[in-house]
This record gives sequence, C-alpha cells and structure tokens, in this order.
Amino acid sequence: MGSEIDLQRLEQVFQQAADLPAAQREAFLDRTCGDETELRTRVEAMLGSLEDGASLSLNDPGLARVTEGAGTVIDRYKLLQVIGEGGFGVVYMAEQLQPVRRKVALKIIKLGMDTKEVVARFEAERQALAMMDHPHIAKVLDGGATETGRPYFVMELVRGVSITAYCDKNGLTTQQRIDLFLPVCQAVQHAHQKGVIHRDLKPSNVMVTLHDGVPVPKIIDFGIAKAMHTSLTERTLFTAYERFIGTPAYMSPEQAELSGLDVDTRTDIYSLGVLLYELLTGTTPFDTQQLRQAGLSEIQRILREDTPPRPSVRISTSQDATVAATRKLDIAGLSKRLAGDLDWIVMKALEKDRARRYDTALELGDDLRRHLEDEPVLAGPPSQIYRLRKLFAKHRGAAVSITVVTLALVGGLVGIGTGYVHTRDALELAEEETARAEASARLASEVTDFLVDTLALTNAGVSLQADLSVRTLLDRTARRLDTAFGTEPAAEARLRATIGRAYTSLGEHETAERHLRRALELSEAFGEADPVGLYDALWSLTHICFYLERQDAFAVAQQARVVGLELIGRQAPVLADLQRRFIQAVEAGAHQRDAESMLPAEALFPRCLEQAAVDLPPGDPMWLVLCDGFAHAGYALWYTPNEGHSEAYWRAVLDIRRRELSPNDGTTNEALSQLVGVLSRAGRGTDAEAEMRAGLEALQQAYAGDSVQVAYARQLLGQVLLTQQRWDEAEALLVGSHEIIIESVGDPSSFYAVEALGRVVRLYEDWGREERAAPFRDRLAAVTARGRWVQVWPVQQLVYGPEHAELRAALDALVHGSGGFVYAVVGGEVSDTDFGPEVDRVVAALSRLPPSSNRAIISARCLLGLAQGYAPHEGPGALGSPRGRLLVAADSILRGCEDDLPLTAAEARAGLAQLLVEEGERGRARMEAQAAAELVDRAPRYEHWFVVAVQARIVRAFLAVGMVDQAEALLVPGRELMIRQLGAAHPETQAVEALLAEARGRR
Amino acid sequence: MADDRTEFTRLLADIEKGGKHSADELLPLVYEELRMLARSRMARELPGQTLQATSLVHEAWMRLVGPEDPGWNGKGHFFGAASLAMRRILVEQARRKKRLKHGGDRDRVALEGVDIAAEIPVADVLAVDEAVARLERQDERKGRIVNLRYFAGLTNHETAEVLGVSEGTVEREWRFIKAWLKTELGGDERA
Repeated sequence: MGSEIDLQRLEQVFQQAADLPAAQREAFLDRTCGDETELRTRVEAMLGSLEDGASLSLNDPGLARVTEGAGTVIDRYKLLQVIGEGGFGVVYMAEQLQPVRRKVALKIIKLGMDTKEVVARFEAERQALAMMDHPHIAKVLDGGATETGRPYFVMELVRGVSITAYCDKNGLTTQQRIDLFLPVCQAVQHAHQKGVIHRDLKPSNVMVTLHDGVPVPKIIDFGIAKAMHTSLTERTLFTAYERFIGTPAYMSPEQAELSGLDVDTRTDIYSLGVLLYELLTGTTPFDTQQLRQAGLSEIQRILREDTPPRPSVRISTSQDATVAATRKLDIAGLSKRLAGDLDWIVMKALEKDRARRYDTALELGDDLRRHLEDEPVLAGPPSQIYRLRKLFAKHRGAAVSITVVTLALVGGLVGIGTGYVHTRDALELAEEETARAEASARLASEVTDFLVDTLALTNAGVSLQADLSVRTLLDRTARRLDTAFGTEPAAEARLRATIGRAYTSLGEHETAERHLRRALELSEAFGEADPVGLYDALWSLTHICFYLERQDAFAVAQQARVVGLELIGRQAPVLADLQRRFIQAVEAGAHQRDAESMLPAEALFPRCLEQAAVDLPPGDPMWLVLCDGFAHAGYALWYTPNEGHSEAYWRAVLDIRRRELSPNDGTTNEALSQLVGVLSRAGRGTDAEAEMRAGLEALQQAYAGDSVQVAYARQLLGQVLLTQQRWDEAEALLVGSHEIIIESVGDPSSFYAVEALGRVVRLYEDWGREERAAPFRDRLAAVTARGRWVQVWPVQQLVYGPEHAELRAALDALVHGSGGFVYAVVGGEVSDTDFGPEVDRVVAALSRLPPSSNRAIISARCLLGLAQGYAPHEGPGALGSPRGRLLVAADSILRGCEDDLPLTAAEARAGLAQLLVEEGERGRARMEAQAAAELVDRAPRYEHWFVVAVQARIVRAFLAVGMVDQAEALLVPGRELMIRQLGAAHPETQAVEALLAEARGRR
Repeated sequence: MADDRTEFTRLLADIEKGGKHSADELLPLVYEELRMLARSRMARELPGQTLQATSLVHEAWMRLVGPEDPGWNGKGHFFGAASLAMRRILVEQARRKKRLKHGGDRDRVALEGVDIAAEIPVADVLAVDEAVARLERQDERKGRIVNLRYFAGLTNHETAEVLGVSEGTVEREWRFIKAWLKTELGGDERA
C-alpha cells in the first residue's frame, strides 16, 4: 500500500474518527474526506484493524496475520462479537451450531504460542476438566486450533460482572462480601480435588451473575492456564512476561519466579488471598500500577520480599473514605471490623512461603466461616521469629546499613570496622535472640508488634521502593515511642535499649544516649524485666560516654560491670564473687599496668574459669558476661610491655565466644585478632600463624564459600606472614583476599576492597618488588579518586539521615580526596593535597545544621586526623597551609561545643596556637595555648597513655609560646603514666621524655 | 563492570550537561553491551531458547547505569540509544537467518546466532524495519515510539517517560502507528 498520503493529515482524520463511536464514523468520513478516496480507504482500513480485536505489540508479532472476526466459523462455532480481550487473547461470544445450538464463550489465544503443544496439553487436561462439575465453575467445553493455527477454548458463557465490581456497585457490607466469597472457595476446593489448578484467579475471572435476583459467583477459565503453560518453559519468556504484566498483582511469589516447575494448588490459595484482600479493602496488597511499572525482577522481588500492610492497617492509613463508605462504615469502623481475625486470615493466605498458607481452599473458607460465627480462627499473628525473618528478608538489599541495624537489633553491637557481617548471620543471631525473647512472651510480643507495625506502616502507601532507609525507620519508631507507647514500662525499656543500640551503630550517639539513658531510668524505676538487655544497654552507653567525653563514662562502665556481676550472682554466687575479685584486681593492676601489679588478677583468672565450668552450662548467656570481664583484662595490658600476659585472657575469650556465639560473630573475631596481634607483637609469629589459620578454618566452615569475612581473615594471616618475610605466601593470601572481596562486594571502591588493595601495595613495597607494586598502586589511585568507601569509614560514624547528606558528601570529598586515609590505614603517607575547598564545604555544611557535639566531633576528628598527616609548616603562611586550614577549621567547629568535648577542643586549640607562633603572632598564640590548658583541666581524667599522647601535642604548643610551667605540669605526671603503662623504652614514652627535656632546657 | 558503569554514567551526565559528548556516542556502547549480554545469556540458556528484548534492554540499563536514576534526560538518552541498538540487532539477526536459510546451513543458526525474540517472523522484522524507516522520514517521533515500544519492548508509560510526553500522547500515537503499520504491511493478507 502506498504511503504517499500526507501522514499528518492521515493521523488527524484517523484519530478523530477513532475517537467517535463506530456508528458515527461513516458520516464523519463522508464530511471530512470528500473526494479523497485514497485517504478514506486507508483510514477505513486502519479503523478496521482497530476493530478486529487483535493488537500489534512486541508481544504480538503476528502483525498482518489477523484473520478471525465476527462471522468467522471455527469448527462448529460461529463467532458473534468480541466480549473481552486480555493478555491471553480475545474472547468472543459464539454460537455453537451442533449438536445443540447454544451461546458459548470462545477464546482465541494470541499468536506466539506453539499451538500443537497447547492443544496437546489441553487434550491431556481435558479428562480432568470434564470431571469438574460445580455450580460455581464455568465449564470448559471444548478446545482446538483455528484454521490459522491458533489455539482456542470454548467455555460456558457467563454473563455478568467481576466479583469486585459487583460488590462495589451494590455496596455490599464486609459480611455480604465474605458470604459471596465462600462459594468461590468451595469451587476452588472442588477443582483442586479433581487435580485442576486455576493459576490465574483474579476478579475478572470470578464473575457474578444473578439467578432470580440472587448473586451467584462463577469462576471462568479454569484449567486453561495449564494448557498454555508449556510456553513458559519451552518456548519463550515473551508470553509469560505479557501474561505477567496482565496480572502480577494476583500472582503468587512462586509463580512469579517463572520457573514453571514449582506451582501447586497453594498458588490458588495465594490468589484467593489477594482477591479477599481486595474485596475487603478495595485495593490489592501491592499497588497494581506500581507493579505494572516495575521490571520483571522488581516484581519478583516485591512478591518475594515485601510484606503488605494488614487489611486493617491499609484502611486506617487510607485517606479515602469511599472504600469504607461503600461498605457502609467509616474508616475507623471498617479498620476495626477487619482488625484481628480477618487480618490474620488474609495474611495467612498471603504467606510468601506456601507451607505457611492454608493447605486447602476449604480451610480458608472454614476459617472465614468460623470468623462469621465468632469461633476462634486457625490463623493468628505469626510467630516472632518468623516476623523478624520476614523483616530481614525485606531489607536484604541495603547491605551495610541493614547489617548495622540487624546487629543492633539483636544486641550484638559490633563496630563495622571489626568485620563485615552478612545478613544471614545477623539473621541467625536474631533468631537466637528472639528465641530467648519468646521465653518472656508478652514482653517480646509487645516489642515486636510495635516494630513490625511501624515497619508495615512505612511499607504501606509511601514506599514500595527497595531501600527504605534504616534511619527513617528508626526515627519513625523512636517518634512513635515518644508519643504512643507507655502501656508497659518494661517493654518500653527494652525497646528503647534496642533503638539506642541501633542508633549507636548508625553513629547517632547523642540520640542513642537519650534512649539508652531513658531505658536505664525505666529499668531502675520499674524493675528489670530484661536484665540481660539492661546489661547490653549499659555496655552500649559506656562506649558512647567515652566517645562523647562524658564525665560519667567511668561511672557507667562501673555500673555495667556491677549489673553484670549481679546477673552472674543470681545463678552462681560463688562464681560472681570470684569474678568480682578478679575485676577488682584488674582495675587495681590496670592503674600500674606493670607485670607485678597484674599478678593477683592472673592468679584469680584460672579459678574463675574452673568455677564457671562447674556453675554454668554451655549456652548460658552468663558466659558472655564473664568474657567482657576477661576482655577488660586483656585490654588493660594492651600495648604495654607485659602485653604477653594477656594471651591467656584472649584465648579464653576466643574459646568461649566461638562456642557461645559463632566463629563469624564480630566479637569472636575481635578476640581472634587481639590474640593474633598479641602473639605477633611478642615475636611469636609461628603461634600467631597457627591461631590465625585455625580461625580462618573455623570461618571457612561457617561460611559455605568465600566471603568478605573469610577474605578479611586471609588478609590478617597474610599480614602475619608478612612480618616473617614469607613474601610468596603473603602475596598469595593478600592478592587472593583482594579478589574475593571485589567479587563478594562487587564494588572495587568499597572500603574493604580499597583496604585490601592497599595492603597488596604495601606488601610489594616492603618486599622491594617495585614492578609488581606499580600496577596495584595505579589501581589504588584510580579507585580512591572516585570511590565510595569513605561512606563506610570513618564517616560511617555519621548518621544516615537526609539532613546530613550535604555534610556527609563534604566529609567524603574531604577524606578521600587524595586517598590519604587509605594510606593511613595501611601505614603509608598522606599526600600533599590542599583540601581547601573540601574543608570549606564541611564547615559550611555544618553551619547549616543545628549544633550537635556528635556532628562536631566526627567532623573535627576527620580534620584533625588529616592534619596529622602533614609536617608542620614553618614560618609565615602556616595558617594558610593545608595543615593550617585543617586545624583552623577543626578549631572553629569545636568552639561551639568545647564544654562537651574539652579534650578534642584542647587539641585543636593547641594546634591553632602553634600555627599562630609560626605566623609570629605570639600574643594571640599564648592566649589560645592558655585556653587549651584550661580545657585540658576540664576534661575527664582518663588515666590512659592515649590521653598523654594527645596532651603531648598540646605541650608542644605551650613550649612554642614559652609556657614552660604549664608544659611541665602536664608532662611530669604524664611521663609517669607513660612509663607505667607503656614502659620507658616505648617510643611514645620517649617522645614525652624528649619534650620534657626540651621544657627543662628552656628554663 | 562497575568501571563500565561509571564510564557510562559519566558520559550520560556529560550529555545531560551539554558537554562535548553527544548522544550518538552512546549508541555503539549500548549496542556492544546488548550484543555481549545476548551472547552471554545465550551461553547460559538451553539451546533453542529465545531472549526477550525487554529484559535485555533493562539488564543493559542496570549494567551500564546502575540503580541510581540519572534523571529524565539520562533515561531518555539511554533508552533512545538502546531501542535503536535493539532494532539493529533484530534486523541483523533476521537478515542473517534469511541468509542462512537460503544457504541451507541451518545448524549454524544455533551455534552463531543469538536468537532474540525469534517469535517475530523473519520477514516481519525486516518488513517492519522498512516500514518504520518510511514512517520516521515523515515523523521522527513516531519512529522513536516504534523503536521504544516495539523493538525495545517498553511500556506506554516508560515510552512516555523517555520521550518526555504524557502517557496519553503515547497511547494515542501508538494506536495510530499500529493501525498504520498493519495496513502498511499486511492489507493484502487480510481475510
């Protein structure tokens, strides 16, 4: 056919005509086309192609093959008119010509299927279909192939409207809707007993007709989907996809997988659940529009992972009163009507795991009947473990952040830095935790209901999108907690402790602190419903208090220990007493930290272990409380000349945690890495290697294959071998580890990948293999130039909320601008980059947020940390040098909250003083140094050599401005502490000694 | 892979900003990606299996752009290029099949051929391609609609999003295009 007709004109006429009812088109064409016969012929042909029911789409490639239409005779049927069109094909009303004349429905399947296959399947199914004889099922009468080779099916003609349309049009109440739904269940049950699965139940396949004014539901298309099912597996995914797009809202998760192999009668139960949901609430569980727009894999994910809100929640969160009005109730009334039984019945039918659904349609119907008759129903709220499992399944995508939150939720507070924990492990932990919680069922149930409801609400209208921010979730929970809780103080305490730990993991220390302190208050006021939870909360609070330089940090730590001892004392008084004496000995010894002062603790330690073995069965949580005490002893010796004495502690901690937790638990790995560290630093490379190999093996058994956790352990083993200069072996481990990490994480610029890469570079540099180092160094430069790893560390300390996006981005840019921190991690040098613009961004972003010591300390520590990477600039220009800009910025940030953060503020202030000296502004320098000294006075007295090291930086400022007295006042006690804790020969001690000598020289 | 993604996203961003790169540069990238995907997918599928254009295009999107939404323009450029690339691939495949059929070398189809959407009869793809070429000479947007709707398998909604028009507009134009194509291609075959 020619295309010389003007396209624009053609379209205009065609569109206008097509918009008109068919009857008016001729007159319109008469008027419009006049004597343009060619145009008219074309438009008519085109309009005809609209009418014949077939459509052209990618899924219907049969472009020009449309042959059937009204009047066509197919075997013994004459097509009368189109009565419907769907994903499968076109449905005609047809007249059966023989043996009896009657009206039937005839469905012609679209092209694109293997007709022979479909017909063969239908024949195979025919026997079963013929056996189906039920008043609520439209009989399938016949099937075959048209002359053009398309499969067709003939069915009993049902004149009616879909069940949902019928209910809404007639304003049926909830009870009437259920009454109408019950026979549908019976019909499905009947078919299932005959071995026929529908596979495509949806409102348009459940028609309602009136028999003497009584509505009768009738299921159509029974058994047809199976005949066509062949194409899913054997031919192409096309048709499956199309079919899919037609009705994903009613499709069960297992059906959506399209595997085609694993569908049984329970897929219909799911679809019945969707149908019931829609009858009750007016909407499908998942938004149809949204599903249509989602890609195949997204649809599968939603069906597999997302939990729809319960019907009552869907109604109560709806803004639209018409749904309720149609059911002759208001929103609150309808929500109340659905809450309880109906919620659980629907949700049981909609279970993702079909084993948890009703086994049969009969059971579903029976439960509905029981509800109508006020008998107890089978369905009930799902168990705690199962709900938590679903919760984690849903959030699987947001790997890092969800890891954080799951860890926090289950109480195993582990810094991300110590290991990468997979959701699977967190899940296992969660189950253990929940199993424990189920012992005190009421409490646990109240807490979990609260969390799950909060989650489901979030999930309702607003976001079907993949990653609901964990932070949003927590904030929402916290807000509800502040306003809506209060029935049960013990439950609130527990929940606050959980939330507090979650916020800690997200780096929201101040918010965490508020919740944790409130949890403690409640526990103190109302008694401890959950003493272990209280103990955990106290430990979290201890970390926060040290981090935020709180004055009561020591007191809180002390309280945690006391609570821990009380816990042990409840079931094992003798053990508790031993452990108390042990901890007191550790504290006393830690003051000195020399070999002799730690001896009493060392003597008590084996007795504690022996007694524990007698008093505590394996699996008793008190083992872990004991461990915290042992670890405390281990850390007391950390980096001291007597560090070797901590070996026994770390071994015990490692053994217990391996047994009580799992080899891949973060705290288990903490113990392992401490032990290995102690051994290597003591020059016991062979022992360190043996431990690390044993740990690696345990990990590999825990994980079926390679994982980041395993890769990380290989890296540590590599480092151990590196110190023994076993280059080849270290190379294999480190390079392999890097590859595994990239494979597991998928992102070469993630923190762990970059860290691993950095270690490879260091290996070759130490080994002196420049030619091998070079390519890896190039890769390092490439990923750090644009990587995202910094979001994990150290900015992971920063909160994830949207209000922090700007600050986070600014810090990201700052910290990985040169890859400096990567090198810092692996022991290299920070580059010479000037971070001017990035520093300005951080300061600007901070200034737009309300002041918070948490934000300040994170930002300032980033800046101060970077500043340490630079050599001091001598002479004028120091303030404008890269180091100067970093220090000035840190100082200005900290000025707003120096009362809260005196020690960090003092460090920044002293840095500023030194810069001023270089600039020749000695007066101002002296003033700032004086201010720094006052801040140090106000800081909590942490008797730790770390603090002295910080003080040393301040002392340099004192000396630079000639404040010799103040320098000495800090240095003399500091030096003693250093000698006690680190020994006289330690480089840190030596540095302090040198400073002191300098001070005395100035006198 | 992540490197490709970053490159590609950068290129998209540059085009978006009106930088020195042009949308034409996307085409070879997307084309290669689609072919590569099709080949690797075929390697994993059973023999005789066909691939779905829609899922290929969406997979290419995920691989080249990733989960971040590069904004309306970026999406438009990508799917514009992808639909054109897909059309080329389908046409090439149809030609190759035709050649092989005439050469009687049928077994090689399975070995060499990447069977995408083979449900479309060979003649049809070529005929559609030619007809669409006529159509787009007169109305470029209609050509793009066919590419997106038919060759890349996008929905009306997605097509509208890519073209930056309303869904109603696409629906209406697609109605016209379908009718036009049907009459253009197959009037004489009608019963």
